[in-house]
Amino acid sequence: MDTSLKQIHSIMNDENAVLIYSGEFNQDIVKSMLSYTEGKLESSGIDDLVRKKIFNVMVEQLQNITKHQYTAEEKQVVQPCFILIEQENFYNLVTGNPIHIDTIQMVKDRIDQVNGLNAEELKALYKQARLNSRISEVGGAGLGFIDVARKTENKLEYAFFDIESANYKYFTLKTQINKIIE
Amino acid sequence: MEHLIIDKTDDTPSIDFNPTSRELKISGRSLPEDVTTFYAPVLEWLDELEETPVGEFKFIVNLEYFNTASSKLILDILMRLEDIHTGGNNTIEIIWNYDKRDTDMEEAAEEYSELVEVPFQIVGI
Amino acid sequence: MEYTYTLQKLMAESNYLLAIRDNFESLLSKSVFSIVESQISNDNLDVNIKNRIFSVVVECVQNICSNDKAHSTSKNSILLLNKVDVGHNIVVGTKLNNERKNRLEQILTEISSSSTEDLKNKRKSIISTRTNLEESQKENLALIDMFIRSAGKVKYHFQGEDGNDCFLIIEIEISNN
Repeated sequence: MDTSLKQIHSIMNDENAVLIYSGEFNQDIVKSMLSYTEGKLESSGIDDLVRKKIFNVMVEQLQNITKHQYTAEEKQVVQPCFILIEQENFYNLVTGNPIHIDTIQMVKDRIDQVNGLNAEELKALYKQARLNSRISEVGGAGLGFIDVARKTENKLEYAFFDIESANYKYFTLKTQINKIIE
Repeated sequence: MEHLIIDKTDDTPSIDFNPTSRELKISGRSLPEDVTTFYAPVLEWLDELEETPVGEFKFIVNLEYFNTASSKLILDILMRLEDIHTGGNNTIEIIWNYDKRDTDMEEAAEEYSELVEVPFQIVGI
Repeated sequence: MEYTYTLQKLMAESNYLLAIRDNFESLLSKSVFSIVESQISNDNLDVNIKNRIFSVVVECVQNICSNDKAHSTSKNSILLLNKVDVGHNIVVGTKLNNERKNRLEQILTEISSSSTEDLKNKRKSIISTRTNLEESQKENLALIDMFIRSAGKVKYHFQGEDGNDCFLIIEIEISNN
C-alpha cells in the first residue's frame, strides 16, 4: 500500500485536519466543500453566528483560489488545495495555491496591512476599499483579506514556499475562526 | 385503504401507493442509514393490503440507486408482495424500470426476479 | 504551515483528490456523498461507473467507517478518493478493536477467495434473512458489494497500532472500462 497514504493520514492526525481537497477548483467543487462544511457544522451543534462566519470566510478564501489564473503549464507543477482543521476551540481554514512572483509583494503588503489594524480601522479600510475601484487590479483579493480579517477577528497567517517553477511560489493562507464568540 | 405518499429526499426514495389507480410506485434513491424506520410504513401498508381484497396491482420500481442496507428491505417488500399475490385477495405484477446504460441495476433486478414468485417485468429505459 | 505544501505534494503524487478524516456519523455522511458526487459528476463517466464509485463510497462510509459508536466523537476513520490511470480508487481506513478485527479479517479472507458466482449467492442468502440484519451480516453485504462492483479489485491490509487497536485499510479500484 502506498506510503503517501500513511504520511497523509499521519499529518492529518497531527494537524487535526478533517478535510483535504487537492485539485482543480471550480464552482461545483467550491459548492460541495461549502455544503460539506455546513453539514459538519450543523451536526456539531455550533452557534448559528459562528456557522455563518465560517461560511462567509470560506467563500472568500475559496473564491480567492478560483480567481487566481495560471497557465496550463504551471498547473501541472502544483495544484491548489483546501484544508479544514478542527481544534477544540477553533477551526482553521487553510488554502494553498500557486502565485506569480510578481504579485507576492502586493499580497504580502495587503495582509501585513490588514494584520496591523484594529477592528475600527479595518472597518474604515473596508469601506474605503469598497469605494475604490482599483481593487479590481488584484481581482478583489484585497477586499477579501479585509473581509476575512474582520469576520474572523484573528490575524491572518501566511507563507510562501518555493516550488519547481521559476515564476511561481506556493502561497498558503490560514485563517482561524473561534468556536465561541466572546 | 389510504393513499400512501412519502416525498423523496436526498437519501430516501419517493413512495406513492395509490389504492384507487392500483399503482404502487417507488422512485429515486434509497440510501438511508436507518432503513428499518424509513420502510416501516411501507411494509405496514402492504400488510393491510394483504387483508383487503381490491384487485390487480402494479408495483412500479424506478430506482436509480440503493445501498446494501436498502437491498434487504427491497427484498422484504417484494416478499410481502409475493405473500399478497399468493394469498388470493389481490394480484400483483412487478415492473422494474431501469436506465438501460446501468447494467448493475439490470443485474440487481434480475436477481430479485429469481427470488420471488410474482410476474416480474424488467424494462430498460 | 509547511504541512500545507507537504500535504498538497503527497496528495498530488498519488493523484488523491480528497481526504476526509472523521467519525462519519450519519449526518455527515450525507455531505460526504454530495462531495463525492460533485467530484465525479465533472468527469464524463458512464452512469454505471459513477454508480459504482458512489456505491463503494456509501458502503465504506455506512458500514466500515461509522462503526465506532462507543467513541463517536473521535475521528477514527479516513476516506480518500484518487484518480488513477485506469479509473478511480477509493481508500478507506478505520480503527478496529480486536473483536471487529477478527470478524472483518475472517469476512475479508472468505470473500477474497470466493468466485463472483459464490458472492452473488451469498448476497442472496443474506438479504433473504427475514429478521433485521446483524452487524456482521451488514458488513458482509457491504464488502461483497464492493468486491462485485470492482470486479474483485480490492486490496486490504491490517496495520498494527498502539497495543490492542489496529488500523484496517481497504483500497477499491473502479476501472473506467
